[in-house]
Amino acid sequence: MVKNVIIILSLTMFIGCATTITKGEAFPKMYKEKPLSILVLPPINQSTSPDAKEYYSTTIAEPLSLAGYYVFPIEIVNEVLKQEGIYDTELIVDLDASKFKEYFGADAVLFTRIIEWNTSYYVVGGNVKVHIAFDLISTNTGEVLWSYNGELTVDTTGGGNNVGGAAGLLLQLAETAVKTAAQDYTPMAKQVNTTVLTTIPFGLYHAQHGADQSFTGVKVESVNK
Amino acid sequence: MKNTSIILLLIVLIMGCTPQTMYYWGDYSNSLYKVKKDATPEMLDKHKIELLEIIKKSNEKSLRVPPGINAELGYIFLLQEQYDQAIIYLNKEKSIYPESTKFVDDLLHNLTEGEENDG
Repeated sequence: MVKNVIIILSLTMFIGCATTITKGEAFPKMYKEKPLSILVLPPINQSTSPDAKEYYSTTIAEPLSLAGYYVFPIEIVNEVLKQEGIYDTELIVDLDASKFKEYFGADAVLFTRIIEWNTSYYVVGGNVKVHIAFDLISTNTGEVLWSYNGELTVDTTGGGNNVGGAAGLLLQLAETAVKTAAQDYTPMAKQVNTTVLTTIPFGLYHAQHGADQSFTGVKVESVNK
Repeated sequence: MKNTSIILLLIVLIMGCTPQTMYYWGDYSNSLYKVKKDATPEMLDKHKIELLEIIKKSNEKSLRVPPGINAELGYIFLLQEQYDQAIIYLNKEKSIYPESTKFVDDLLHNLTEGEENDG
């Protein structure tokens, strides 16, 4: 009984804390500028996992294209940037975004920051965490058009869980995570991508382009500061 | 009879509501992941086959080939020194997605320059 009350109370608090606004309110510049093509820069890796950068790159083209954008071929872009000596995006944060218009013809560049891509172990268990922040910058104005971040933590402490649905799926991911640690980050990253990209205004190739301003799922606290 | 009608109606409604799939991406992400994990010519060949499959299936389903797929395939042909094929696929990217023109033209320019230097 007491347990139930606590659960309900924490649910109420949780719901109470999450302020959501519409896509139109959150990202008006996106609707004004209507970028068609996005150049995804190599991720900025702030995690302790050196492989994260290469692996994460394999996950983003598909969901971004499904949101309606032309995504420049990431593999080729990475090679070009390597040849130019700017593959380490850590170094190009300060670079003028308009250069990507000039050299690639891109309307916007997407910076991704891998904040966490880690496995943590503690006395009684452990967890795997993926946390990624996204910033879409206009190559015309240099302004932030869309920004958001998302994270997913999977508890790898075995047993004792009786959750179903989506959470059950996470659990399934977690079980695999224990077996092959490195392999399992990418499915988690994909899930983070999917969740985060529900908040990006649809691009020109999407059937609902320009018609999603009233979508309300944008969490204010998940928009990057 | 009545039940059948209702079921049929429901099916029509559901199908009508389901958004048309935009792209067929096949196993792209996993296939590329394997190349990253094990960067051997064999893995790259497998990835190339996956890209060809994505193009084939997209055509069968009358879907636009996803952004970057033709270009990436062209690039792999380029790495394998099959320049004619490289040019064909890079040009396909450009014709499906005109917004890639500048990017693809620069690649083609470098490619033809490289060939001239070789010859």
